[in-house]
Amino acid sequence: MKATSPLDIYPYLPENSEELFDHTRMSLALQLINRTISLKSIKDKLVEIDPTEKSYKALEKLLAPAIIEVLIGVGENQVTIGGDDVLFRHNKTFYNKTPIAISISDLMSKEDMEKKVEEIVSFEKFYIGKTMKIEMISIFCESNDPDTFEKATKIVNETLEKSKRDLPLVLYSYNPKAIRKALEIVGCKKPLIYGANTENWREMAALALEFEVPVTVCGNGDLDLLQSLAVTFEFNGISDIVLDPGFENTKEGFKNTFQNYVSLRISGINGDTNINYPTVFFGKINNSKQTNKTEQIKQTNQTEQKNNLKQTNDSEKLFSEIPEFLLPDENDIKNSMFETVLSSVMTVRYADLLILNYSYPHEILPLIHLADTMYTDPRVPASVTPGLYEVGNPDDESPVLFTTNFALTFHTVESDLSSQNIDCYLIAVNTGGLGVEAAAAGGQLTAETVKKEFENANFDISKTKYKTIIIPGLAARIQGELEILLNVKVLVGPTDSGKLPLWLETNFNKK
Amino acid sequence: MKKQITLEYIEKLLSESGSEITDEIIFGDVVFDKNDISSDKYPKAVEFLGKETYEAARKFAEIAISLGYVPDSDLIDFIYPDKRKKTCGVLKVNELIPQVYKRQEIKYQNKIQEVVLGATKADGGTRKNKIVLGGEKNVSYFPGDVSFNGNYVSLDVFDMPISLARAVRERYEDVLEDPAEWAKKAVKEYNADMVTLHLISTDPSIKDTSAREASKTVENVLQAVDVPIIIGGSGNPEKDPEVLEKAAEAAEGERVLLASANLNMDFQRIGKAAVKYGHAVLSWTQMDINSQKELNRKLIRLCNLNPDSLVMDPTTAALGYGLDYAYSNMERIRLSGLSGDLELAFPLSSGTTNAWGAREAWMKESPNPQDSDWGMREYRGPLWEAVTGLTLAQAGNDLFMMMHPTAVALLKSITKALGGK
Repeated sequence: MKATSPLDIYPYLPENSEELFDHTRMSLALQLINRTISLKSIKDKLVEIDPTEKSYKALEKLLAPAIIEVLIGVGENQVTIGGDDVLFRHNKTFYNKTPIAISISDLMSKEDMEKKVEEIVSFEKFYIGKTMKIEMISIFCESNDPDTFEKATKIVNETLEKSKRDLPLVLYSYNPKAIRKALEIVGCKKPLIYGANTENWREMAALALEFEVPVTVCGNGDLDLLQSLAVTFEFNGISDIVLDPGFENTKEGFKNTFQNYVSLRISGINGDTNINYPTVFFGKINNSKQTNKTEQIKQTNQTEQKNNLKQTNDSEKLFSEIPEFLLPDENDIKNSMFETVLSSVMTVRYADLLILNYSYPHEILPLIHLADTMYTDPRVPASVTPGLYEVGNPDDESPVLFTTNFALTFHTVESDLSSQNIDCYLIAVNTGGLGVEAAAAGGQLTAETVKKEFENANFDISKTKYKTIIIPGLAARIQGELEILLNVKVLVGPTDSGKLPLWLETNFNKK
Repeated sequence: MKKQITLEYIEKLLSESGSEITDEIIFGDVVFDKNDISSDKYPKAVEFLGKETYEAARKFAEIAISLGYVPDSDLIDFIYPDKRKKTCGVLKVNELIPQVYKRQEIKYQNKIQEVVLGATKADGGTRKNKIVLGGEKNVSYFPGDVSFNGNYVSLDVFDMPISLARAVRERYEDVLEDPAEWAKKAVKEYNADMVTLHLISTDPSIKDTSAREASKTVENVLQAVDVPIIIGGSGNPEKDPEVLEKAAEAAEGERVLLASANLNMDFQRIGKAAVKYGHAVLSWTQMDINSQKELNRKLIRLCNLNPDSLVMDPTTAALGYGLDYAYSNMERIRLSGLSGDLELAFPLSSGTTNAWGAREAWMKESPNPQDSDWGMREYRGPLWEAVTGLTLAQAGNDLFMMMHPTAVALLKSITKALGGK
């Protein structure tokens, strides 16, 4: 963003900010810069004070992120991609977690298509108090036939409308006629069209303008061409642009792919406004079983020439050196594993949207976790909500333990217990996000704070059968005081929660 | 009197230099006739002066803002022209506007220390090859990172059978009882660049194997394979210094990596043993950049460890179990090193095997009934390890301690392509 300090935007904020927004003018400025408050959320009040919208517009310009935000879809399932301001997440945070779009071929049978859509929509992975889901669907015009694509779009759209989650779509075809047919059905839902290249860009640009939908421009490895397409589209009044620099399944090709994504992001963050759009990555390993007519069309004149000059032989392929005995026999599973690692690399380095050919859980799980990993805000202290957590299905005979609310400590302890199927009560004591050792030494983990946490959680230890609390080995020093304060038996557990299961077996006897 | 410069003079300069004035310094007043501007007499000069004046005006406007002047949004428009004004309907141009993309690179001042592991005959050892870690001058794989020595994988070998995730155990079932055979298999069948011998049986609460006995295992492994090796203790802070001292003695001349020195133990014994017997030390801290600096500094100052003998392990957490912290901690360490913090400019190592601590890596199905099907763990596990490793590779990690051969193969394919090695 252009504003680098709260002082840059301070003059445009109302003097009575505190009255209006419960934040002082300076604090509001700081939070806008840190993007912990969004400009949109205060727009109404700002415009109320200044109906000319002059200050709002000035703020909008000063606060616009370096990488443009593109919205895909409508309603509650709408996704936003782009919006980043830094190259490295610890410098601020990454914004708008990379969504996953699963590709569905228009050559699939109606039943298979419906089944796949339902699978995608209902996919759920529970993780630290939230549920991770698949965000998008990409309809792939494998047939290259506008009527087939239209039919498929209809089926997918109807299945989505019947489901709980009407997911945003990518319409994937280089054939403008096919895209038009699909847009006539779902154009009002703001799908992302993919993609414009040297041959079809006029038609694609016209479609993007007519239906007011975001559009992907494809560079096929050529960044001059990519920028040319982006600048031309922008000149024609299209602002919702997504970049696909291209991917090639060779060693050299993937290196170029990677460096292109990195270069584009460096340019965008450094203020090159010609090409500061979000990117999409589709690490498609060509599948021998599918004949990819559209992939052939993708070969524009330019790249055809390149390909003719350089025949790719198999040993130049990315994964050609992996011995067969280390890989599954089935081609699709093999390719899905390749797609997983390629997509994971690009999630870290600046792909803002992933399209996946496969949807096996062994592929979705790591990728969905990695997007979460990269886009978690590192400025938020690494802590969990203090309080009572149930591990498994505890009853009044189950062990009662506590640890601190430092996220890593807590999740480690929690998983050490739950992975051994131990039913127990685990209380996360608020230490301000410090680990056990540091908090016990620093005074955040004391008999008093533990008592307070038990009270806050409304957990009456005297109602359990054994009236016993197990404390972390590294907090042994509070044992005596805690026994007196809570009037319970306090046992000192191991210093490493990995040893808890064994420790409980020997020391916590239910009989 | 000041020199007077005419449009004619500028036009001439531009025509000669090919429409750009680069090395010339023009000092003086530009004098021109309005009629000259409206005519097409001096097109280059008019374009040049116009552009320069406009840019100057923008710079002045920027200064005005930084002085605290509050302009209205029109002026902001002027300073940051918004090109994204909507036009509706038909296309304004029917041909692509030609563009040349300006590739940008980030540059750093410092180079990451190179550390050699393994000694060949020529260096007084018996290894077939040595490995050079580090040497980066840029963020790993970024454009401009040309001096990178590549990534290497060391496979874990334990000195006694231990419990392993099923997908991993299946790959080592026949060698679990014999560390030497285990090491051979890792190198011959699974293409390991190095092996890490973990002397876990030395832990007093496990088998309490003596340091002397453990060093025999070291000798056996050194004879079984000819790649450079890493020697790990049991993680017991009381016992490890003694175990690693003896191991360092047994491996004298082979330039192994001693894993590891930690602030919670008498790390000086390990640092000094490395100096005495010519080895390198793995400086291990628990995800804290300041502790990492402190331990590195102490190893070098208190133990006289040469900076070319230090590798860092800032702790690896599994995907989904703290990888975000491990990643950013590592990335910060690497960027500090590249930016000139010499106490952090060392190669990085990751205990990527930790990925198997994630239940998603090893459990057959989700313990949470809400979850969708987790799919086949025989694919999920190796992918969990590979993705954990590849993520850290991008944070700057050089050396990977791993377990599953498929994860290793996937990781190597990618890092070799990206690093060009």
